[in-house]
Parts: sequence; C-alpha cells; structure tokens
Amino acid sequence: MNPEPALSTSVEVWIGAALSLMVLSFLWRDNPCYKVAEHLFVGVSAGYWMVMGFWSTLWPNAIVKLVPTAARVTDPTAGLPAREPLIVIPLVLGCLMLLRLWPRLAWLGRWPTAFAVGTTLGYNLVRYIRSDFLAQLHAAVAPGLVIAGADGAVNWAATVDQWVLLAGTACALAYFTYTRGGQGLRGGMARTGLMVLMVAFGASFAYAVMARVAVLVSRLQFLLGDWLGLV
Amino acid sequence: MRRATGVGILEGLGRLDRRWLYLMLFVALGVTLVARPLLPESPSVFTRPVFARIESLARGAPVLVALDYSPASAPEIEPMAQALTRHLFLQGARPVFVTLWPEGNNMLQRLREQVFEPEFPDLVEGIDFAALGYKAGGRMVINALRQDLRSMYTADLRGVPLDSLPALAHVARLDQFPLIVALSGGTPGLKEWVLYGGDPTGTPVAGGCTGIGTPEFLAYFPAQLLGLLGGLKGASEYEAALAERYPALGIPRRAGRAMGPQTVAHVLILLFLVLGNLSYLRRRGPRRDGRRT
Repeated sequence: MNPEPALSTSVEVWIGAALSLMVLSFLWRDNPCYKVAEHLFVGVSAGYWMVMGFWSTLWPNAIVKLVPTAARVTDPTAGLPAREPLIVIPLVLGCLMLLRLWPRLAWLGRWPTAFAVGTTLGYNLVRYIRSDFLAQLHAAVAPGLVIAGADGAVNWAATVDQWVLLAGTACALAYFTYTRGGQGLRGGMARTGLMVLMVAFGASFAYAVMARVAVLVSRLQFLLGDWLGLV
Repeated sequence: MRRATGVGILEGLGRLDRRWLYLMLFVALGVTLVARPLLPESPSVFTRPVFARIESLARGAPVLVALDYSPASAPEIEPMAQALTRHLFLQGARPVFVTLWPEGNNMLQRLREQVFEPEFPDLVEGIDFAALGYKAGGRMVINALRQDLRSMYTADLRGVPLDSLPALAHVARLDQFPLIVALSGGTPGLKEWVLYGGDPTGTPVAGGCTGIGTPEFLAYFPAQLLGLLGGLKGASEYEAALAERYPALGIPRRAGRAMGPQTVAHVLILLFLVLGNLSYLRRRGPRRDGRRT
C-alpha cells in the first residue's frame, strides 16, 4: 500500500474515475448514470473515428493527391507532392457507396461494393490458402519425431505433444463427418473429437475470462492508484 | 443437523443475487491490489523464443515494432510493449515503430512517456529508434512495406524524410528487418503480419496479443510465429525473464504486479463455479429414474 495516499488533483483523472464508476454502476442495474456514460462513449468514439478517418485517410490519400497545395494546410513546411489525377476513380467509387442512403440511386452503390469484394477476395485467397491452410496442414502432420538439437536426440515430450495434436485434429474432423454412421472406429473418433472440441472451447473461454479480468484489474488500478492514491 | 444446515446453505447459494458475487470480486481484487503481491513467474515455451531472439540481435539491428492496439486492449498489450521496447533498447537494437491502427500513434506517445524518456533519456530519435506511425490500409500497408518501405512512408512522425534517418539507413524492405514484433489488439494486427509480412518474406514474427486472441494465434506457433506473448500472463513472463537477465536495473513489473489480483480473481471465479454447480445439482433433485443427477 502507498504509505502516503493522496487523492488526485487532476481534472482528467476525476472525469475518468467518474465515468468508470458510472459504467460499473450497470452491475447494480441499468440506470441513468450508466446511460449517460454509454451515450458519451458512443458519441465521442464516433466523432474521434470520423476526425481520424478524414485527416489520416481521406485528406492525405485523396485531397492532397488531387490538390497538392493542400499538403501545406496541415504542415506549412511540407514539400508539394506530385498530382495524381487517377485518384478520382477511387474517390468516385467511394462517393457512389454513399448513394446507398438514397433508395432511388442505391443500385449505384453495388458497383463499389462489388469492386471491394472482388479485389479483397482476389488479394486474400492465395495468401489464406498458403498460410492458413497449407502451412497449418504441414505444421500439423509433418514431423513424426521432433529432433531436439544438432546431436540428433529425440525430444520425446514435443513428439508426444505433436502426435496428440495430430490425433486430436483427426478426431475433431471425424466429428464433423456426417455422411457415415456413428458406429465403430469412426464413432469412437467422433466422440473423442467432441471432447477435444470441448477442451478447445474451454481453453478459449478461459483465455477470454483472463482478458476480461485483466481489464477489470487495470480499471481498479486506475481507481485505487491514479485516483485515490492507495496503490 | 449440521449436514442439513450445510445443504440449506448450498441450495441458498443458487438463489444468491449475483451482485453479491460482484461485490466479493471487487473486495478481493481491491485488497490484493493494495497488498501488491509479486507471484513467482517463469517464461513459458511461447515466451522464451522471443526473449532469446532479441538477446541474439546485433547492436544497431533495426527491428520493426507494430503497435496495433488501442486503449481498450492496452491493459494487456501495453505492459508487453513496455517490456519488449525496454529489452530492445538494452540490447542496442533500433526499433522502428509503425501502426495499422489510428490510435496507435497515441499508444506510441504513451510508450515515449513511460519508457523512452524516463528510462533512456540519451536516446536520439532517428538514430536509436524511428517512429513512423500510422498508415491506413491494413494488409495493403504490409504488402507495400514488403516491396518498398519508402513507397508507404516518406517521412517519420516529425516530418523528417526517411532517407535522412540513420536508424533506417540500411533498410529498404520488410525482409531486411531481422525481426518483426507485432503487438496486436485485434484486426488488422498479428494475423496480417504473419500472413502478409512473415510468411512471404521469411522474416521471423514475434507476437503479442490479448488473452482472447491467444488461442487463435497459438496455431501459428512455432512454424509461422517465432513466439507469442499471450495476454497479461505473457507480459508478466517476459518481465520476469528481463528482470532475471538484468537484476541490477530494477526492471518494473507492471504485469507481474497485476498477476496477483488476476490469480485471486481466477480462484474466486473457480470457487463460484464449483459452488454454483453443486447448488444446481442439489436443487435439481433426483432424476425420474430415481438416481440423483
């Protein structure tokens, strides 16, 4: 404990503490204090993202490239970049997307959407197949025996770990095979696969709990330390 | 008589207002936070490779550090960002900070105030480290960095041209970094750095992520991910390794100090789970076939 606890004199810390307590008051029940904090958070977040989006994306990537002298608005000493007239194309596509707000012209918004979906799909497909499918497959099945070092000694713990992982993957996949009956070896694998899935879901949930508790601990550190000066 | 009372308490627990549980959790966490215990910690198999890799870096080696997180995930990611940055500076490496998140610049500023300025006041920006900051585009930014760093960043956050930064004198592309450290609170983040940065170039990627993201990224270890700092525990492990390596420096243990309350909370939640289930089984009573449960 801090031997000389001192209440914060910072206005920012007091506002932060008040908002934290207003949000935490939801644990008691839904109340106007919580609603105020919630609406404030949503409004401030939306405003922050809009400003950030304009000045960090739209301004440097569209406005400055069309009108190079605009670069001097944010930095009077900045050099003038070359004009890039082709930037009009993505700018127009972006504007077309906004037409979805008008029902009569909403159909024009399908063009930029189709463009975005198509390019994203084309760009990601190969990488995902290589890194998220083939590389994962290779990592799961490749080494039968894991060699520990240059002397060629087998790392038995890692080897058993590898085989358990492989068997668990096979059993989990068997659980999702519906075309055959659930009897015999396949049925046994499917039941084992269900247990493997339960363990995996349990581990994921435990990590999620850990993350949430970490956030709560951080908030309490702020309240007890930065605000009340007890820590 | 005593047994009947015990059963009554167990059944009563099931009807306990959940707000009492919240109160117990808050009191337990508060007391532990004030007591500030430091539990013993040792680096796991996921943390050790990251530490070893940074230990093996040559002096002056540029290391790309991606700060892809925001205040929402800072409680978990910031302690690891502090520990990793501290280690990079102690090794004499030159971190090059980038971010795919708009809030990343603010996170970098906090890192300056918490680590750079108080602990390494002699460091010179542009020579000992470089701060390139945020660029919009997510995976497209990584793709551009893979081909030409200067096509994406022409100047650092201060507006100084990249060509005049000694920290980046010998770096033109992503594959010329000996290490990528990606600290990620979501998307775009660690997954994108593995898929579009590490895998195509062969550059080792060391990751740090929230507890929620850890199960997803563990699948990439060790083939596609050098190591992973998972949540507050990963940060605490890294701090412990750093404190052991540099015992005379008094390395701050921000995550380590938070692990005490974290552990108390976990024990309490487990206790609630056990008691809640026992209470449920007691109240459900015998099944139709006459057996209990």
